[in-house]
Amino acid sequence: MSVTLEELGKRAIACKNWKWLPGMLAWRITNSGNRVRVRFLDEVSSYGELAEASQIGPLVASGHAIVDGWHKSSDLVPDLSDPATLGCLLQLVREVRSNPTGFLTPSAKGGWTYFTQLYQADYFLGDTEAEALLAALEAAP
Amino acid sequence: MTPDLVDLVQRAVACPRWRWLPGMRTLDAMRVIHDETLFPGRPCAIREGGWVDTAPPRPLRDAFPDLSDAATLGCLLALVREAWGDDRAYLCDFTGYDSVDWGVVSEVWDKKRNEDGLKPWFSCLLGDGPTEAEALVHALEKAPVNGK
Repeated sequence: MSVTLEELGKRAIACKNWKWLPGMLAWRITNSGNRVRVRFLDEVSSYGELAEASQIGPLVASGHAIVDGWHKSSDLVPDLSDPATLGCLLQLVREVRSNPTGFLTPSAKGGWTYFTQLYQADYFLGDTEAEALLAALEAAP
Repeated sequence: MTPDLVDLVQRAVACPRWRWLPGMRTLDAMRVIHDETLFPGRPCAIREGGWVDTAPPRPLRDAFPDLSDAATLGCLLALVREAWGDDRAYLCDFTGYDSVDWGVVSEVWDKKRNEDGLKPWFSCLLGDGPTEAEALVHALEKAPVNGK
């Protein structure tokens, strides 16, 4: 993972409105070569090490279930180059901004803009789709 | 599931440019993952809920995508971009501003059609529909196959 992507991921989880959604791809901070896919957990884990993270809900990640097992979400950083993760981030931004149809458009200068609605003045800029979405997420109430 | 939704998911997987991407969700609540150890070179999926040890990953067979899932829609947009060769194609909500609701827009294709002297109405539109999912499936259906 490039420094930029890692920094973006850390910015994302630092947002007060951040939450993990099922389908997101995450890097493990403790082993940056490994990535896991976030899944929804609807049964409480009996494993002690996961007690903190094993609440019911989309909290715990596993992409390679048998190979990697489950991981605490506090050890993870989202991979914002992954299309599924970007789809989830868009969903999250829409949710926290109460704007179910917000969308991203490329800008003339090569960056991206998140619009809450077509032809509205409420927009957020970024060099990449992830950065525009993060700007909208960070500015959300 | 409504008949319209059944039709839409069937249309999606019937597209020549369709393929499963990791992160997509199936209608039977499986999450697509990439596991080279267990299924080299093949997409597989694991049950979304429940406990991991009771439901190991399995290969995808006769599955349909959950087009209400945010991760799946993100992947579908990636497929559309790949199929049309435009990594900046985007989804736009035109509701209330035009005769289409959701559209997949490509400035690359708009430019190409303009250069070819073809400038029909909404030439930048790769696909459209009343929902994001329908616009994306429409764009994937219309995508060139083998350069045609």
